[in-house]
Amino acid sequence: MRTKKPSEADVIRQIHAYGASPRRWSSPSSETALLAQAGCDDAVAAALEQAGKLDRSLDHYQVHPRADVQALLRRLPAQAPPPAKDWWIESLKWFLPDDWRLVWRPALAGVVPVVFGFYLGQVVPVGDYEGLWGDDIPLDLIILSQNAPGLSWDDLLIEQGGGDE
Amino acid sequence: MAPREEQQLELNWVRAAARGDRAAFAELADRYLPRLERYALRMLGDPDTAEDVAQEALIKLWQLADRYDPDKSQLTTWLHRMTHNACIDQLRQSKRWAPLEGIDEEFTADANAGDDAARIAAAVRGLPERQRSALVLTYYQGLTNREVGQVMGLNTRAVESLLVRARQSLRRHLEEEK
Repeated sequence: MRTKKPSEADVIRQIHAYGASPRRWSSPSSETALLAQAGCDDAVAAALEQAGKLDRSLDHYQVHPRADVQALLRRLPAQAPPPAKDWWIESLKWFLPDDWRLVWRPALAGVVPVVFGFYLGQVVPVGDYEGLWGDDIPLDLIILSQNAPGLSWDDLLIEQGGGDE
Repeated sequence: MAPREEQQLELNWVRAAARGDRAAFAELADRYLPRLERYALRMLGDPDTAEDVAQEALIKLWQLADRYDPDKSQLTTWLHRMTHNACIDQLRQSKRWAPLEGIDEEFTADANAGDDAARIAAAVRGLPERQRSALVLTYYQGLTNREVGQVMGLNTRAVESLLVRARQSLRRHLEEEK
C-alpha cells in the first residue's frame, strides 16, 4: 500500500500541535513526517525551530508526586470488592444485551399498563354485575332445556309458573 | 517487556484485584499512582488535592475492577479519564483556574520569580482547562491523540485543535514576557 506523501501544511500542523519531536506526533503520520523532515523547506524548518524552543521550555516544568502507595492502600475500603459473578450469571449475561435498558425498558412498558389496568378495575366502578347475578333465572330451567330438546322455553316457563296459578 | 505482554500483565492484576487481591492492586498502584498524580498536579497545582484525586481514581479501580472491560478501553486511558473527570470537578468547585488572558495573582507571583520552570509552570496552569488537559495529556503523560480524545470525550481533530491553540498561547505568552 502506498502512503500518501504529506503536504507541507500537514507537517506544519503536526509540528504546531505536537511539537518538534516526531516521536510525539500522531502515530499514522510519524514515518511520513520523518520523510518530510529529511527534505524540509524553510517554512517547516522555521516551525521546527519555534516548536523546539517551546518544547525546551515545557521540559523545564517538572513535578514531583508523593506517590504514597501505602497511604493509598490504607484508604482502600475495608471490604473486598464484590466477588466475581457466578458462572450462571455470566452465562445469563451472554444471552442478554450489554445495555440493560434494552431489557428493563420494554419490560416496564409492558408491565405498567397491566398494573394500571388492575388498579383501575379495583377503583373505578364499571357496571353492576352483582345486580345481574341477583336476577332470578332458575337453574333448573337451563338444565331442563338441555335435557328436553322437545320443550321450548315458553313451555318450561309455563310449567314453572303453573304451580302459582 | 512488549506492550502486549505489559497489557496482559496489567489485566491479570486487575482480575486479581477484582477478587480482592491487595498485592496485585499494589502493583497497579506502584505503576499508575505517580503517573496519575503528575497529571493531577499539573492540572490542579496543589499537591494535596492532586494526591487525593489520583488516589481516588485508583480506589475507583479497586471498587470497579470486576467491571473493567479491556476491549472497551486501555487501563491507562480508563484511569486517566477517572483522574481527568475528578480534576475538572475540582477545578470547577474551586474556580482556581483562569484563562491565560486573565492573569491571576499566583501567575504573576510565579512570573516575577524569573525562574524558567516557574514561568512555564504558571503559563501552563494559566491555560484554559481543555487546552491544558490536551497539552498535559499529550506532552507530559505521553498519550496518543486518540487516547486523549477518549479521555476528554473529543475526536482527534478537536484534540489537535486544542493543542495548536495551547502551544500558540504559551509561545505568545512566553515571548511577551521577554
